[in-house]
Amino acid sequence: MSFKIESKNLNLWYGENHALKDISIGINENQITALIGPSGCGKSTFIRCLNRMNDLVDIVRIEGEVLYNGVNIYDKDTDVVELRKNVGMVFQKPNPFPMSIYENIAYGPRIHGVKNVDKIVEGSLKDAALWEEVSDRLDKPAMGLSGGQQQRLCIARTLAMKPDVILFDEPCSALDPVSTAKIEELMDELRGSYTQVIVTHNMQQAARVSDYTAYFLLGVLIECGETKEIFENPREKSTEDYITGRFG
Amino acid sequence: MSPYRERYRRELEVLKTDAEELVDQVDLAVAKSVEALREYDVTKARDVIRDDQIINDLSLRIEKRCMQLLALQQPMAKDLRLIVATLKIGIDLERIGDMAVDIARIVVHSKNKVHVKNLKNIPRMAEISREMLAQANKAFKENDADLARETTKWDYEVDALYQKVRDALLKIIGGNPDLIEDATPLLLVNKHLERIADHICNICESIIYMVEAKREHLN
Repeated sequence: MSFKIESKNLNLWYGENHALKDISIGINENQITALIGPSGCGKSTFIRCLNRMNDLVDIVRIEGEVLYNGVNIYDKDTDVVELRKNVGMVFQKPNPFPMSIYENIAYGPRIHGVKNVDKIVEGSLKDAALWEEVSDRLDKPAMGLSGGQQQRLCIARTLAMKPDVILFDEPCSALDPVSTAKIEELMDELRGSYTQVIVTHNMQQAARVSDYTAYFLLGVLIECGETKEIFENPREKSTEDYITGRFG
Repeated sequence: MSPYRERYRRELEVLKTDAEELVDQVDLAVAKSVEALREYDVTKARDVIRDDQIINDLSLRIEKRCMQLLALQQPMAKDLRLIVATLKIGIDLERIGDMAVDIARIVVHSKNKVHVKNLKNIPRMAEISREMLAQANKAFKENDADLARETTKWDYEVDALYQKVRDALLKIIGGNPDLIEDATPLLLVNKHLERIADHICNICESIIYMVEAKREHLN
């Protein structure tokens, strides 16, 4: 299996704070990788490195490489807009645009020059398992949807850009269990077609949805392996202490 | 690093204590059932049958604790393995208890004194099984997978004794068909004791899984 994304000796500083220390990890293509660890361990910082979201933070300094399809995304000639089109992101809090459901999906493809977006809107909403719930009110404001529907709308909006990697930064932390189950089911359906990376505080969610799990602590990647191994028999004591709730 | 989930930790400790108590009760049942057989002591045999309720209640309590821990605490890694292993060990122990009851019933329902005095290997099998159980209990308490592995080796001796007892009984029956009624239940006792050792091997496999997350088949 090839790595879709690979970080090599990645270091990141927020000013003087060394937040990521020599992270080397491969993200398998079309599989789901979960990043877990206690607050402040660097998992969200790491996921934001994968589509250069940290560029938006002034005090950030990065060393090392992140290879996407074998090319370092931190090279000077990287087209960051194109990168973020291919490596989409879904955030903790659903953030629909203050416009209609239809326009939320159509917005991205349109600014990339696509004229007829009807099919993209329908296809993306279907892929995000939202079409049946909204097909009769596409012109209604997206802000009127429930939290879970808004999050699936954001996933549909990401899918409309035809990415091949989707980054989820705690996508269910603001959702109820039913909406959470729908998102997890959706991730399962997208498995095999998209490379997915999820940051989650919910270890049961990591265990349920992911193929691989990486455990971070204090900016260090402690352990990465198949999810079923990590949660049944982790190699490192520190991982075991965290997932069994002995500290965190 | 702050310790937390204290209640959860205590519940895991209680689960282990319950399992150790179940081992003690089952050990007592095996010991008493074979003593009853050897001494043709119907009162002792009835005690074993009566006290099986204690074993059943305890094994149900363990099963309930395991299910509640699984449902409410979402255990992972070594905690998950402890709970799964204890659940399986509880089932094996309960089966051993049932076999002790079967042996006791044979004593109660025997019309004549069973000719066990001439079959010293039957008490010997029970002794070995009890040693195995004690050692398995130590391995469980101390998370000692090697001791669990070591324990299963005694099963070969039990199997050899089983064959000897079986051959001896068949010889008795062959030599005097009038003894069929007396000797046939002993064939069953022999089988039960052999199976008890097998169940203890299963327990040892569960202990190895609990400690090392390895699935080994040892008997």
